[in-house]
Amino acid sequence: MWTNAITPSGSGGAEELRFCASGGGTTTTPSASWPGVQRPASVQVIPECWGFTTNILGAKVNTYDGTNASARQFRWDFDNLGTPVSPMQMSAFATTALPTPVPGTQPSSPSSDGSGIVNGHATDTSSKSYMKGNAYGVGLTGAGAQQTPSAGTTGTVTATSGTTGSVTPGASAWLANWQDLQGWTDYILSGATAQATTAGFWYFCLSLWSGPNLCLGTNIGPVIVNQYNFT
Amino acid sequence: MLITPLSLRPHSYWEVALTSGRVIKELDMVKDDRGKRQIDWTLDLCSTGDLKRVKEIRLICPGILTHGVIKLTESQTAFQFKNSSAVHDGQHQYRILEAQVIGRVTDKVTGQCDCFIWDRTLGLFKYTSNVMKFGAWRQGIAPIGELSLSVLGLSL
Repeated sequence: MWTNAITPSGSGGAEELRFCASGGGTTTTPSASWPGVQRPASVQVIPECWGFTTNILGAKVNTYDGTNASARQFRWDFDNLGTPVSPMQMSAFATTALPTPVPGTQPSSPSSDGSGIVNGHATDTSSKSYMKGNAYGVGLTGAGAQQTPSAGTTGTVTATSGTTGSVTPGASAWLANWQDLQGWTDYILSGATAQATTAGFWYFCLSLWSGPNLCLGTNIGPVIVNQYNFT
Repeated sequence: MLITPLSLRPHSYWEVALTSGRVIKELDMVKDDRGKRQIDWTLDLCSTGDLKRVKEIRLICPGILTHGVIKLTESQTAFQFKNSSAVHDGQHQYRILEAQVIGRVTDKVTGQCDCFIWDRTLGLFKYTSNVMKFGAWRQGIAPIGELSLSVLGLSL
């Protein structure tokens, strides 16, 4: 059941997605006290994701464990007020300035933005982003049909997953191989323009990895972006 | 370019002049079964047939005296759209209106178009692209790809 929505205009620890090691999070940990993740000796997923609607009120994303085991993790929720003119696209960036990634280039430690994750590393990720994503179908079709995934596995994901350029899920299907979210260098493109003035969802999953060559720092989480065009 | 009084609005907006002399602005309000709302390009220009009567499209830009103006030489070749990003940076989530585009298809066979773009970081500038494969004019903008001709009311 979808019980939590992270909405625009959060601040001071509100409206956050937070990742941590297994057992590291609680429903009431303030943002400033969120536990760090130790850099591992070998590449591996960061197994927990939590969503916080206020600084001290959160819920674990139970279907997220960093693997492809469970669908129904996240969804973009759009209202019935807009008229899209093209398919939407999603990816991850270092900052809200949406800079072009530099694949394989790690910033100096300690970093304070998402460039380390987004740029990836040649050894850890074959210079693909440490943040992987998968999306289901087109979301809402041009005829207004909502594509909703069943529970279950969602394609193949590894630390080196990713295809240069855009990838598009088939209708009512996940990508067979997860995409790395690396700016508009590697990203996911929906396969259709959604129907005008119709509310709907576009379902997606995330898998955040870490590795021995990822930079150290605080608040190094990337910016997750959905870009869309409308009248 | 059109020189008008300075627009105090924080964002750009489109304006069209019809062959009848009537001017329709994006800021105009209309009423439908959901109540009062701002005019919409697809719902109100395309569906009413007014798009066929557009002779000029303008992009009124905030804070500057000059605006983008495109005169049409052929019916149903004008279009406009806006580009936005829904951003979640791990701490905050918000929407950013990146740019607004007005354009005219100059080659109905290939889809080539001439545009004016008001971009939140670049300001107003001219841009040439293609409605079948609309490009990205700066970093941070994804290649837009094929625009929906039916939504925009284009007849190629």
